[in-house]
Amino acid sequence: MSTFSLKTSEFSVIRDENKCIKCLACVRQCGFDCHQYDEENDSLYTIDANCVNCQRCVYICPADALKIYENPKPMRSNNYWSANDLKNIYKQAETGGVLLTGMGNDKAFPGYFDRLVLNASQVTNPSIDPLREPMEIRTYLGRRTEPIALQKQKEKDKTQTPIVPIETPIMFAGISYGAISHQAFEALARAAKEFGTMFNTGEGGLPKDLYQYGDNAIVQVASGRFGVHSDYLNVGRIIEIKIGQGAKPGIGGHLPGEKITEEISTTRMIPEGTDALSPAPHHDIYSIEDLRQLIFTLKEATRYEKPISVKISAVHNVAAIASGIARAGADIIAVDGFRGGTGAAPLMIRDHVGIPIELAIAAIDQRLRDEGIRNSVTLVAAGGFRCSADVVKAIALGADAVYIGTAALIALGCHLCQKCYTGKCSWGIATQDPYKTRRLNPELGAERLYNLLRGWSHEIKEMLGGMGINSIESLKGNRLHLRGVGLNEVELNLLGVKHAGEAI
Amino acid sequence: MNYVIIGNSVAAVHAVMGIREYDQDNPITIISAENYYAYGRPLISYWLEGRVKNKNILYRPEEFYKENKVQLLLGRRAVSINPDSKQVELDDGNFLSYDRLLIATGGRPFIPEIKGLNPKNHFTFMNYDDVRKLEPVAAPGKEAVVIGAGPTGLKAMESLVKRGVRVTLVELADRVWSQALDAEAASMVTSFLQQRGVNLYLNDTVQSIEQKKNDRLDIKLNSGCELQSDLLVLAIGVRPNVELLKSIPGVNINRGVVVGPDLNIGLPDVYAAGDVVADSPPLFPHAAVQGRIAGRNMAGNNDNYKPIPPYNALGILGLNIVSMGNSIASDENYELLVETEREALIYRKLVIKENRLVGGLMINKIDRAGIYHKLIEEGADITSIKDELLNPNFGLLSFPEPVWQRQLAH
Amino acid sequence: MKKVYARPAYCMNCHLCEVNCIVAHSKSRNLLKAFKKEKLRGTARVFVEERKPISIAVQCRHCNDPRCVAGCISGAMVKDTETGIVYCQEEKCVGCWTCVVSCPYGVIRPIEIDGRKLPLKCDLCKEYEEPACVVGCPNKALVFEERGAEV
Repeated sequence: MSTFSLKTSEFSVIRDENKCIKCLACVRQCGFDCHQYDEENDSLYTIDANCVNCQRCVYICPADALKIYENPKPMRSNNYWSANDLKNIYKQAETGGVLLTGMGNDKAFPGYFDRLVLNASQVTNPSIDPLREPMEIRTYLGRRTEPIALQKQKEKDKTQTPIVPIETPIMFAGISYGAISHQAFEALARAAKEFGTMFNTGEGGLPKDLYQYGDNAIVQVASGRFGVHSDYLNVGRIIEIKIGQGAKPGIGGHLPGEKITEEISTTRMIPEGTDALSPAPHHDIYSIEDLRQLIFTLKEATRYEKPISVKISAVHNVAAIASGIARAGADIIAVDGFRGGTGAAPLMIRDHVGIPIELAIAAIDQRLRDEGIRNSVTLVAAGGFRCSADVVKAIALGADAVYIGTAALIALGCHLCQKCYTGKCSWGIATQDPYKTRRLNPELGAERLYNLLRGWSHEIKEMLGGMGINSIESLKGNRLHLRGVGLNEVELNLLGVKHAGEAI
Repeated sequence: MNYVIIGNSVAAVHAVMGIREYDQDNPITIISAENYYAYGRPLISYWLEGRVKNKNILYRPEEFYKENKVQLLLGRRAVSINPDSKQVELDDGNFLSYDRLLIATGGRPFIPEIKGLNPKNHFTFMNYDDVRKLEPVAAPGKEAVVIGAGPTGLKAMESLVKRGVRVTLVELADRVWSQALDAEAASMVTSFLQQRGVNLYLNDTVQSIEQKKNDRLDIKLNSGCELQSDLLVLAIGVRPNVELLKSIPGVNINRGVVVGPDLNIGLPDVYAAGDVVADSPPLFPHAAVQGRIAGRNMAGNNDNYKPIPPYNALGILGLNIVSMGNSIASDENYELLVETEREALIYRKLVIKENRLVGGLMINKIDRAGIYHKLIEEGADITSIKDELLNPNFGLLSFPEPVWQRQLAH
Repeated sequence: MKKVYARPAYCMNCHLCEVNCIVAHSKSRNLLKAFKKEKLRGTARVFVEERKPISIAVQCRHCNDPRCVAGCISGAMVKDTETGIVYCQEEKCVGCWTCVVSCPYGVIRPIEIDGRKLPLKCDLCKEYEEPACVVGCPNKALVFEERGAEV
């Protein structure tokens, strides 16, 4: 029995029968029940409508017998109405619901990273070979102490929080335990520890068995306050107040009850099986003054031993907001651009709210410099860093370090099927189904993440060397190393870069 | 140190291996009444069938004896043992001194008193020589009567059938292989055999034999039936070869020789293993395990033999039967789990007593039967997994997690 | 001795250990030929037990005192004195399946290939450096290692 529906299969799964050995790995691995085995006839078939193109079957198939194709457009071509628009309307016409999605904005907005190019040394200022000469990419997080004053011996500032060094300007972004599996979470924690950088707990607390990674943890305090308690705050190295998330600025979060397993419920301190709702705002923060109060509450609670980070999404007025945050006493400002990922967000919000991270970095860096307070905070950028060149460009635009979330999950196997919100992730990442989570071995995951950090860090050193600089510090905000390609005057101005071809 | 082993079958071979685990140097002497290197005794039926050739009938490669520094006396019998002088007297008048002695003399076919029976008009089915004698006469089209439908008789029947011989089985009990098969299983096996042209007389045995002039035999059964046949095979049972031990003070004979847990027979440095041992099923695996333990103990170890419940795997004409422990139980003192698919000739039965598995019987579906046997042997309480036992997915994961974790870590 | 150990926490029930085992024990040693031409599907010497969400690959434990060797009537099943590997010399085996009943782990499987009864069991890929199931396990749920003396 089937009911009439206007929904069409987005993908078709093609099985090469000449190759298929009927090992049934695809059937066992598909998280979406697309692959089916008919025992009576000893035959395999697919339910294409279930396929999300996560590619799990393609990779697991030992015979390389599977290919997934996008279904031809189910409509006549139309330059205005896209097939996706129709699909969404059909879906909503049937369900009446809000369209949900996962991961980051996939719309064809212009990407500024792709229109920025880096400089390199030639003849007059020799380049440096990072394999032969020291190359410093260690980065420091936190509020820089005031310049040394000669006139009079200043008293030691008791509210000064420590500086946290990281071995590479790349950290793992906040992804909560609950949104992702314990295995994925642990992989991030282990890799951060092994590499000497930080991972971010996201808003779901930190499971007790991972407290051993506390020195590499940025522990988040979000509007739902899940898992926030004294031990949690004290075990982390840095505390982050999460105001906003790039994928869904202005709205809260919703982790469905099915994902609240016993362990997650313990970690989050909420009843098992209930939905975990993060309110859109912090109900105690309606002003910079309120924020300052929370910042100092947290600092007091941790004896000024933990730098405080405040994470916001990149929105129109981001520079002024960042300035306010700096003045409110934050040691770190994390800003998340509109390509930032999520486990679940309304499609309309994800795709249409917020601004590109490149512009946000430039605007914040400039504003803080103009106000003479750039040194009082570390600026961490997040939201769609795809490669080490993106990282280098972000730092040249003015960031101190970056968070990678999506890239980290991709290293763990994610194929951006954007179905995180279903909890069915075939890769064992965005699921709590114990049948699937075990397919992500944290040992292997940590190794892959470590390798990614190692590869990117090495590339960063190569790029720095090429530019003739031997320290990431010298690149920070050094926009002379950037040139725009195909950008208009307004964009060049906002980014603070010259157009390619223009000399100094 | 001088090791002497009387007998050269599976217990002896495993005793050699057991000795050599602890003592690689001191000489071992094996006295073998048969003129062959140790062979897989149950293979004789496969040899007769033609499935196993001379070379492959050997239980271990010829080099086994040399590699293990074993002096093998083929075709020699031990005629007496003197435990005081620690000597074995051989049938050629020589004496062998031992420091450690293993009695692994096995058993021999039981031959009842039957009118007209003489060594020339019947065959037994135990030794390589038995089938070598049978081979020339068991020609296609001939007729044979096999007395005894136990495992030996059934295997004899199978090999003869495969040679094209028409076989009649005569069994004293009310069903075939009555020690292992219950009424249901036996009836399945019986109809299976009958479909393959095997004649079967139950509740009956041979009364007299008369040799006709044309070399045919007239075989009269207790029931009055008369059978004509070209050959007669007796496969009634086995008796332990204990003659050497009779009248030695300190040695107890109870059909077999009585042993302690270390397999010592009550004389200093004398051990026994295999079919000659009392109260032990005359089965291949049991002989092997006992041989190994006896060998180790002879070399100075202190291993104990924990009795293994009887088990047997028998293939007859394509039917695969496995019996374990008390497989025939059917009365109300036992709880039975049974699965029958008569059409597919599948039968699975487990016997439970006081929450412990005590027996099992399987026909044609024997996967993972070893786990049942282990449960029978361990006598473990199976209350928590009772519902799982006959489940098609029964396996390690049917057990509580600590159990399977431990098993995996082995 | 080095043995294959299963780590159930990471076993994802893909059964690729079985596939790799079959290929490693095929004549062609080629996946497609092993399955399509030699028709070896279902002849793995390791097999995955599943009970969602748990699955584990089980195979011969290469016991110190292997019951299958003791029970083998033909002498086909042996334990190599040097490597400790328990394996079946298939040309000697008559398919009586005593080993199947002897194995306390139930990991010797009675199988018929081309009309010939054979007990399928892990031989630790003695012809290879490392067992194929371990090499091919995508999640390192199987490891080949020495774990010291057994209790």
